[in-house]
Amino acid sequence: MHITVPRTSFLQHVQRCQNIVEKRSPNAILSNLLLRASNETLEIVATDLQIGVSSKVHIHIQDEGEITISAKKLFDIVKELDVDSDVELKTESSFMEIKSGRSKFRLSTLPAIDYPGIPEQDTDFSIQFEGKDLATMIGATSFSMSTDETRKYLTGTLFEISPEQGLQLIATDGHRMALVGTLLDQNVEACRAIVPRKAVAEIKKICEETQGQVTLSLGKRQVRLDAGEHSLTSKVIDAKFPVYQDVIPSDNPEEAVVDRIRMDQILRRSMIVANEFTHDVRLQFSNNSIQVSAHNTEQEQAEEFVEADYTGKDVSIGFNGRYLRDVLSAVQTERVRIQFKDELSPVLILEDGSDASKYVVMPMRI
Amino acid sequence: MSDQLIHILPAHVANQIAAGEVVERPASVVKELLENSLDAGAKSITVRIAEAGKKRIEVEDNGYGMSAADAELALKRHATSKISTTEDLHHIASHGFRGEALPSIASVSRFRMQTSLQGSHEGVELRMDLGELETRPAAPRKGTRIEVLDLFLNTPARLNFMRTDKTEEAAIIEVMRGLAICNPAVALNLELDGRKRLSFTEGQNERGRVIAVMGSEFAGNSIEQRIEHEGIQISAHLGLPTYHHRDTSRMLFLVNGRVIRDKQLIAALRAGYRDVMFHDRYPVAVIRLEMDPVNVDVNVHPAKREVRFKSPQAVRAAIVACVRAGVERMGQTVSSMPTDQALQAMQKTSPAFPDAASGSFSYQSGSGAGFSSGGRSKFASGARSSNAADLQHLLFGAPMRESAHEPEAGYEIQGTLNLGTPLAQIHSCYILSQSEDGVVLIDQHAAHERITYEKMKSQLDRGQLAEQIMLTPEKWSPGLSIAAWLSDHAETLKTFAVDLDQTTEESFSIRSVPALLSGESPVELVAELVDACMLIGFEAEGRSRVLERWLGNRACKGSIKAGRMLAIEDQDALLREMERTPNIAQCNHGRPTYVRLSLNDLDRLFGRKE
Ligand SMILES: Nc1ncnc2c1ncn2[C@@H]1O[C@H](COP(=O)(O)OP(=O)(O)OP(=O)(O)O)[C@@H](O)[C@H]1O
Ligand SMILES: [Mg+2]
Repeated sequence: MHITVPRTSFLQHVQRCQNIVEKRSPNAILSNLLLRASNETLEIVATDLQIGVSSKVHIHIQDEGEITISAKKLFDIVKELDVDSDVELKTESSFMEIKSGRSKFRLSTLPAIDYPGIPEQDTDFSIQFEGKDLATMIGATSFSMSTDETRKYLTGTLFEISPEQGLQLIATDGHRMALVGTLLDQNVEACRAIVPRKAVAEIKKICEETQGQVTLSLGKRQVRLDAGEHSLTSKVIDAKFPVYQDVIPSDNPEEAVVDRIRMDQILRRSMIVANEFTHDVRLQFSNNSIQVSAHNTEQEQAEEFVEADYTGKDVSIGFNGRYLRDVLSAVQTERVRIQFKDELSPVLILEDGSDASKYVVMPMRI
Repeated sequence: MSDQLIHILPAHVANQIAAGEVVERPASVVKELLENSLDAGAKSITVRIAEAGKKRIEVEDNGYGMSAADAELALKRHATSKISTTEDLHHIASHGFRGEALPSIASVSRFRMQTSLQGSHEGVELRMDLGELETRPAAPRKGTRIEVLDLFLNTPARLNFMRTDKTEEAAIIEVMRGLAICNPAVALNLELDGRKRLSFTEGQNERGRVIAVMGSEFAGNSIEQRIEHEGIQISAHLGLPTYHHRDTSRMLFLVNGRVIRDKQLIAALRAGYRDVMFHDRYPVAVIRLEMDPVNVDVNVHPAKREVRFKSPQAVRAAIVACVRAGVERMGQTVSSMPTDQALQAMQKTSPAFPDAASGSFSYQSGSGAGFSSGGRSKFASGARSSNAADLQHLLFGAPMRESAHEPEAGYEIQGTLNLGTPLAQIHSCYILSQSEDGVVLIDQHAAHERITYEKMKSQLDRGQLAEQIMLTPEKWSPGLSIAAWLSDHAETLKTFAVDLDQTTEESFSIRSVPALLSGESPVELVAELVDACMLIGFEAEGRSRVLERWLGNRACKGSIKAGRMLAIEDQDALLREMERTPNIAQCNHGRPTYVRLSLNDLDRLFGRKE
């Protein structure tokens, strides 16, 4: 293999791929990137056996070929190279020579034939979607994923496509749930997949960097994202996701509408004196106001009122303040609606004027 | 054929059956004979063993002996001088009371006994060979001498079950050590195939005997603690939390003068140490319990290795209270072991390893494994290490070595801790500080971990447990026996902020968990909690176990990592904070947080002093 690539775009692609490489993989070849040069294209591939990422750049090829090389070393070297010079890569028996300006490196390689590669596409249905929008939807839900590995199905985000609801993302850790949805103007079939946490994060990054549309494909065993030069394939979590429809309260009688930013600021202040591990705060809803209060075992206290559109009965509910703040920063609108029944039932938080996003938070008994 | 099928067994058959229970192995014979000698008021007893006891077991005492008539009676089943009524059975003060040992032993061996009653002018010699008794007069003597020859000669099955000589000898040594601690004033000698193996001198006090048995190193790494709790008197010799062991073999429990092996006692001892010891290490300790014999039933195990307490809770509480009181007193003291290891490493001389068998306990019958000292090989090469990682392992990560090395470095049990003035940080891991009488090395991560832990604990002690309600209740199927327990104890779990709903006979849904642990697996959490409650039966204990599990994790995560640079002011602040923190001597994984080298140690190191 012998190729020449512009340094800046090469760095970008190497970085994209080396992100998912496991730093301490027991299998040496998995800490490598696969470089494949053919048909005037360089393809860079990385995989941790769960997720595979591939990036393609159009380049000038002197000699076609494929080889694998340490992701970390390649990235660290290319990062340091002169910004404006081209990078020349050339294999020499079992080594790879990297040249740029006056710098020259020799790195050891492993043969491409041993590289696991990325599984063939195996998905059932695809949609086109604005990349930036998908990134936003992920950002508005991913905080609710669980980190408890004993409940695998909660450690990912459910991607669900249906003719009625369009695309919906749902995440829950068993204490709270986030759901965001957008209607689609395409004809769709119903399909769903639980996408693991790491893939969710990578999909978000790729979408953020992409101008325009991406293609999202879901399958029984696989989820795939194609975004311009990049594509990502990930295994899905093969488990049953909780029936989220049952969890969303539909008949909460009380509703308070409150300024989102104000509410968030008050929570932030109150939590300074809340128990630093459980972040428990109390919301006391009464006529036209919400009182937020917190205290800790050292008898320190905080108390603050915020105006709210509320005319229901007096109710006092305990929460993990973190959970509330996560919701408030995921929501976009100026005001939010908080719907509830009593101090022990699930609380629903909605944007003002839209029911497309739904956040359910379970109270805390404090 | 006669129509009567049932008949009374001949005496020697009955005795052999009893022997099956009482006489498992040579060590059981030694135990029974020693106990008889002790019951007979002997002040000095010598045990001689040939071929691990298979060939010959001889026990000679200077007790008050027996008359010829009594001696003959002693070989009959249920013949005893120690109790006579059922009422007596509730106040047993002697080792023996079943009147079974001698006839049982005699039924599976060739048995010889010479004795004479104290003050009498005649003696007697008895021989019993497979049920045939032979008696003849003998010269008067002081005390009794019993020989058991060819043990199990008529029960080949038993003989086949015999372990290696080493294992059987180990078991004999264990038995003798246990009884030695129970009877500190009595001289005890053991000879194995003519070689002296143990010798405990007459007239020792309790502490002296404990050290003679546990090894002199234990002296410098333990304290004595006595308390009384609900009529239970405990006198304990407690190893420092940093002086731990890999299994339960270095714990010894005496209940009213008997050596007892009991899961609940072990659990109680560990519970007392739990806060200061990593969960897979075990304390080293001797715990002596005295209580009204009415409150403890010794008649549950033929070899009397087990007892039943009238109130196990009270016993547990007493042990936990005693250990806690002890740990509090030694709270700031680090075992002298790391210092010794440091010196040895720096002196570039191989540490001297003692005979492996010294100072080790194991009462599991047939195990004998308590004699090897695991972890030793790690140190055998300790002398060459000089790089930071090795040193760290050597000083701070080390499981304790069993050695009879005499620790010279003194350590303060009470009084205020002074960690001196920090001089420098070493490899961003350790702080070197100069103290009044030498230098101190501090593991910054371990120290900070303990500080954080103690802080959070005191915060939580005062607070309520907040309860996070589940949005999606978790299913849990713990099995029938736990389910049954739960239906009686649903309220118990409520106090831990756990709310369970029984859905079927065997399954539950978990509706809430403690908010502190809401990130963890609800099923694991609840299972562990129920486990703890069932085992302990103590609500407050279970509660603190939940907290401690969480705290342990959190404290570790939130602590200063090794490898972080600390300004000299920060180092000083850390040291001062350590001086104010209870239990600072070890992190919550039981590793020491600091190691001292006195000027004296340094002088020795450079050869200025011997
Ligand atoms: N070394 C000894 N010195 C004096 N008397 C002894 C000695 N060994 C045994 N005896 C007497 O023989 C009796 C029988 O002993 P044996 O061990 O069979 O029963 P025990 O000690 O009474 O009860 P257990 O079966 O529980 O040991 C004892 O009660 C005691 O009176
Ligand atoms: Mg006896």
